[in-house]
Amino acid sequence: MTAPLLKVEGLKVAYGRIEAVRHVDLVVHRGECVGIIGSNGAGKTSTLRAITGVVAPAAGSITFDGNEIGGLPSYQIVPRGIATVPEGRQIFADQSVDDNLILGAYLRTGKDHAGIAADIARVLQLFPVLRERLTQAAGSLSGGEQQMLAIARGLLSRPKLLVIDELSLGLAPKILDLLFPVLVDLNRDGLSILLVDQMASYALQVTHRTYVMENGRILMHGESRALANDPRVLDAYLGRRTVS
Amino acid sequence: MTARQQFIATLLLGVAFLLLFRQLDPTGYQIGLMMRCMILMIVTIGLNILIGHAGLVSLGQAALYGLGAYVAAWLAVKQGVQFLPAIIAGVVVTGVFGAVLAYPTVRVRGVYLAVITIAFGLVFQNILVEWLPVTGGTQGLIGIPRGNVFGISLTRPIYFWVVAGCLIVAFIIQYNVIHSRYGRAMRATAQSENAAKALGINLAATRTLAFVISATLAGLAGGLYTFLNLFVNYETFTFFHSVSFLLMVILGGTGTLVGPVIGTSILTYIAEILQDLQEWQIFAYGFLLAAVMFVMPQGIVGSFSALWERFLSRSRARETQGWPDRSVPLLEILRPGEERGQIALKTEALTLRFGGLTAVDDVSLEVQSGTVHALIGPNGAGKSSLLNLISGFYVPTDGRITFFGASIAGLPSHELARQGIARTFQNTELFGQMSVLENVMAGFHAHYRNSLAETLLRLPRFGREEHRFFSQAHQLLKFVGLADFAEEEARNLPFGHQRRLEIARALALRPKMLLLDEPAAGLIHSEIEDLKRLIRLLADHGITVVLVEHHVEMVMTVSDHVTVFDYGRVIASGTAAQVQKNPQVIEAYFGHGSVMPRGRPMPARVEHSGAAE
Amino acid sequence: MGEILQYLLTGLSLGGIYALVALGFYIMWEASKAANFTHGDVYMFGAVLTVVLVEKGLPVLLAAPIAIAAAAVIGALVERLLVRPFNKEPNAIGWMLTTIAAGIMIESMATITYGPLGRPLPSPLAEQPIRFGGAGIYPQEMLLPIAAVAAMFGLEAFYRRTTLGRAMRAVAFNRTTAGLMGINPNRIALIAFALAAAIGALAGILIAPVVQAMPAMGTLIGLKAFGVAIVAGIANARGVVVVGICYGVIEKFIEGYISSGARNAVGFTLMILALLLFPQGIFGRREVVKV
Repeated sequence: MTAPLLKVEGLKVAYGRIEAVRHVDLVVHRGECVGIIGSNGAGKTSTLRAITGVVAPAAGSITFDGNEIGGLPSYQIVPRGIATVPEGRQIFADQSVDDNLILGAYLRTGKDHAGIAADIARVLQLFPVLRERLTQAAGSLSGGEQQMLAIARGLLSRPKLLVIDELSLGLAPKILDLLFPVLVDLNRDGLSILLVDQMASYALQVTHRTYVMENGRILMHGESRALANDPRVLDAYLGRRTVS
Repeated sequence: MTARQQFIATLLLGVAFLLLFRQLDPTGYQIGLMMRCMILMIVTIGLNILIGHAGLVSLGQAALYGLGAYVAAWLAVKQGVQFLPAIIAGVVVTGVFGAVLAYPTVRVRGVYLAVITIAFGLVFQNILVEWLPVTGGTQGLIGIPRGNVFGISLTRPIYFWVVAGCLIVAFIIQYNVIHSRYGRAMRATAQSENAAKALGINLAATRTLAFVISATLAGLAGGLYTFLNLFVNYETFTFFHSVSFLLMVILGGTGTLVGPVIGTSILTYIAEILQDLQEWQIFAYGFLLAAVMFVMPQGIVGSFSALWERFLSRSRARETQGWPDRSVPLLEILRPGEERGQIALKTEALTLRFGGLTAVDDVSLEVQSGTVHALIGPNGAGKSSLLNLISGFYVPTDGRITFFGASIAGLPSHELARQGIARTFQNTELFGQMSVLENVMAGFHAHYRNSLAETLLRLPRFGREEHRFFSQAHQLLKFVGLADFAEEEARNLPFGHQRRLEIARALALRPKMLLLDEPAAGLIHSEIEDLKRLIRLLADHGITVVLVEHHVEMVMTVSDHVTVFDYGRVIASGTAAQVQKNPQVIEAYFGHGSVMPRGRPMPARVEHSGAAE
Repeated sequence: MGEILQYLLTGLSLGGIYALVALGFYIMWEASKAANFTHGDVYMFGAVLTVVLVEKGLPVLLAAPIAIAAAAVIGALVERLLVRPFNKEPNAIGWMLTTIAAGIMIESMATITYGPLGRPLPSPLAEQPIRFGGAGIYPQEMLLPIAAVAAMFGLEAFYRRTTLGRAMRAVAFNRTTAGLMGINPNRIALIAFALAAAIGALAGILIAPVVQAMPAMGTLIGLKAFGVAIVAGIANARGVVVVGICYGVIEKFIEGYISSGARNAVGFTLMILALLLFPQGIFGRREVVKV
């Protein structure tokens, strides 16, 4: 059995006195697409923030590709092969689409000129609308286009693992119907994905396995297909919970 | 040692020290030095209130000091005005400029305010040098006649006690302001603007008061300096002096009672020693400021107090009580007046747009008084924006809001607080460096009747009101089970306790309507059960509760009415049971249908990896 | 006519100084949301060190780059030791006090070692003034606005065309997300402070032949340039340079038509008024704060 790409054990995240994550264990194997769902305040985003180095864990360990990364700042985690599509897109609105893509490849600057150019061409093929807007300020793009840019930017560092936080936030269903299949294709091409989303139905359709979080802990987890048909998940979301 | 004891001890020690000093038959020079030191203490006491309590950094205090000095000097030399009226005139003029300087704080704080104060200081200095006919230019004003009060000439030995008396008055003013609702309001505005506004504290008025107090003290000191030195010139009132006043406050301990006295003494002493080494003195000041920032940012008195506190609290464990405590006579404290059956809150076509985003879209809803009404919906649905609109933190782009029939759209938050709308915040905005009790006392701010004069003079009504609110604050703490934590600093509380405190503080406002922004976030199960009981208890007492919450199970069991939002619009409204069955609600939370290309489902596991866990 | 032209020319020169020093504040603020009250002192340091090296026999074309490099090192040290540890929270101002303290120490140290008096820095461009239209100006003086505009364009090109420049903009825009791209925000801040100091030192060196180098030359320039940067809104290089040059011109006109002494009072008053009218600066971005 090969070691998992990402392994999180006993994770605890606190902001001052607030315990956002009480105890989380999860793994992502190479080539998998794994989801974390749960209502707001459940601790999903905080879990991702700990993994990507935005906050330091209060306890627990995070291992990526065999190396302990818990507590490292973001700029030291990214070179190891994790890229992020942050919550709310967080594109650099004052710079152009092209600038944003170049920044996505920041770590490869000066080392792989041809490779960066090839990758930019590839993502523009994936999201043709970005090619039309290449020199426009990223802030002038629509929500859906910004989300595409954020994903494209994340791909530019040629990551092993792509971490996506709340893809569906503020986007209309039509756009989501376009974006989620792209993730499936990327995953089939070998990219491991860890996806957090409030919109459980989307997440359950595009992932192999899913963790359901509540109140800073994992409530249940399993194969996405099985969970999609499990009434307990819906109950948890809508407060009809009979699970204690 | 309580603050009161510290205050009285310092006063007594100070007077004793001065008496002893005079007993030792000092030279005229030494008396003058001591007097200059005391005069500077008056300046730094004022600056301490401004920085340490109101959180406003001024790098132009020397200009206010100089303004007081020059006004008194000009009146004495050019207009033959006597000592008392000259000093008073200096104080008044400086006070007015203090209010003027406060105006920018309406818009800017931090570095921007510092730049404005620096610029003010430089302008003043420039005017001193240039306006020859009035200020005497670089030479300054000389030949100031010795002060004369009711026929007594103020020679140094006598004037010494006049200055000492003024210092004592300044020290008393500092204490009386700090330990009053004005001081609490200042600290509140410095520690959390949002929470202060939500409690009815007028930020601009509070900051103006802080500036005026610090300016008048500086102006008083300036006038006293004039009649000590008997000449004034621009070299005493430079940017460097403003920096040294700042250093005195920080070295002593920003925000402490005795800090300014200690800091000023030490620096005056250093200046004396290094008198002949002008440049080294300047270097020493710079070095000392840097050293204090690195080694002892809380200053001497502050560091000492912190150590003392840590030593004390180690010995005492606090006991948390259950909540809500039904034995507390809530009705007496809260006095909700409105009758049942009214519409507490009503919005019509309420819309909020900013920067191309429509956060709240044509929302119309009604909240019945005395009920619990929940607003739920996915992230980004507009619930918090709606709450901010109702509490006056955002101004609506369109639509109306009425509160018990009166229109409130566009009114500022501190005004709405005074009308009876209280709220809590998603990121518990406590006044972290104030005690638990003080946080609740700040909530009573809007209900005080006594005036500034009564506060400064400690007239009987001040004592009565403080006492009454003090005991009511204790009652509210008992209600939320935090009675034992009264003296604890708010930021040291565990998270669940912080939430309780925020609610107790909001209740101190005696609200007709309480807005709770995600109160259950981060609470453990038992705390959520307590919260539910508290919410129902409040509603039973006639308070209208509106809550924004993600913890859907809690919402469904505690609410009388639920409104569901998505993309800024209302998509469902009714009882909890009705809303749970609504298919639109389910879709909003959960998403819809099939997203997979051409019906190809995801495999259960990835082919080549190990077994999924 | 000759008068107006004179004020205009000397104003452009003075404005060039303000613009260059203010550009430094802009660069530092963008990278770390903090400024640096020693910035006026690196301006002074550049001039003073160059004079000292030239007096020791180095050719000015060697002394100047050395002084600029030394200033850059000082800038980096200030960021690392005085600003970074005191800039942890969003509204922290501890860095204001530590840099004021360092500025005081640098200036008094210079006065103690170098002496309070000004010393000349010879330059061929400061020997013969060019005269036309009734006005006269040393070519050396015109170097300053030229340098300011060149720096402005250079900076813009840097921010728009180089990856490091883009990274600096990213850090200014959103520090956290910049980190998620692998950009080290601390290193960026360090580079920014070093760059700013170099530009400040250059300004001091360029003007030294005209006004002489002395320890007291930096404080007021630093304060004014900081005011200029804030009034401009610290939003972009062009705004800062425009406001800087305008302020220099305004000061010279005040000096000409009212009095030499009035220029600080009137100038700073205008600055205060401008800030009251435009709380985010004239060209500033309105920051929306979420409650």
